[in-house]
Amino acid sequence: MNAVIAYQIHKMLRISHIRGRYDPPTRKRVGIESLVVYSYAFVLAAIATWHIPGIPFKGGDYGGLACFPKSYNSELFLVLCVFLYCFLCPIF
Amino acid sequence: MPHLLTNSYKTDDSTWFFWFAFVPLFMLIPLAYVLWSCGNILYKGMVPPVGRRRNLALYFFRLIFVFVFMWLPFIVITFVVNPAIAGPQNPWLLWTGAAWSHLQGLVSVIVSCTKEDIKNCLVGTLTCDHCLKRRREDNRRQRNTTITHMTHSNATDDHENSNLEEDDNLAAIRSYSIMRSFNNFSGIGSSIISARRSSSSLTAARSSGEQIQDVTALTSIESVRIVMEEDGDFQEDDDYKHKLSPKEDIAEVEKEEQNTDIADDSNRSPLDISDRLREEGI
Repeated sequence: MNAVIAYQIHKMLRISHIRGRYDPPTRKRVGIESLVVYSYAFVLAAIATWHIPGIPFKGGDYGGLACFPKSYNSELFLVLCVFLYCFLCPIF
Repeated sequence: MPHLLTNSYKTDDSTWFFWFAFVPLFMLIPLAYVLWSCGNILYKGMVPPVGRRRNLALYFFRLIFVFVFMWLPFIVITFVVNPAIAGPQNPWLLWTGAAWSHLQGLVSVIVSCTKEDIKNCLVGTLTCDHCLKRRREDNRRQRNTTITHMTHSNATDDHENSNLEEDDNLAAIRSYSIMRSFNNFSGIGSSIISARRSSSSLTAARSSGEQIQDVTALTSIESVRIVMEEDGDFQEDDDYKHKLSPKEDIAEVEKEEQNTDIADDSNRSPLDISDRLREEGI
């Protein structure tokens, strides 16, 4: 949802910057985009929570809560953290 | 629900999937786009000038304040207070912090609704009746005000268009499109602007050409009427438009014009304004 909002703000500022015409999203479009975003979030939450056949993911609870997935292998966790963020740094 | 949280996959596979599929999908890709948007906005200088960015700043300040206010207690309770307690962790304490933090969405909605237009939009969406009624009112109001808004925005300053509030962007641009359509009719648009600049006269409208037809004059008169009505100058003559024809209207306004100081306004010819609008691409 933050990405969708960022897209709209970027679009508004870009068009306003060149004195163009910016049409704010209609209620219908906002509703559709929200529905897509929450459906996407539901799928991700389902992956983290439920055992979905074919997906190699083991969810877990943290302090009695299951809202966030966790990694089980601490060594691999550290290696992947370093590798992933070193790989993503040039993108940013 | 422990039966839902276990499966037979190896933990290494799960970790790989978590870091190379799950995390990018739910966090890294959206975060990368948001950061790219911020960088692009700052790099290209698309942020409104100082003084014009207040609305945006206030809106985001609300969200940031709510985010910090709602999530800071959770972080403190979960990672500072709860581990410091001797013995097993207190589930109620953890639950309290988690429940507080997860109310952030609701609090964000409430705080966002302190902005009047967001509140109206939300209420209008939740109540379809109100929405339809509001749309009808907006359409009627727009018909009455777009020409006025157009004249205000075009006749004041060359750089005013670039300094419009973001909230007024749509209304202003709609008036620009009307202005563009008027310009296609050889000076009608410039006549309207000139009429507004003279503030209650039609001298400029007539000076754009003696061949102005009744339709042109009528359009200009209507625009002046709308402006005068909004300024409160037209209320005393409520039956004005029922009594006079357009030509009589011109004569009447000219008579009033003699008692007003319009020297500065009449110095600017409609041709100049028309050229200026062409330069701006309108």
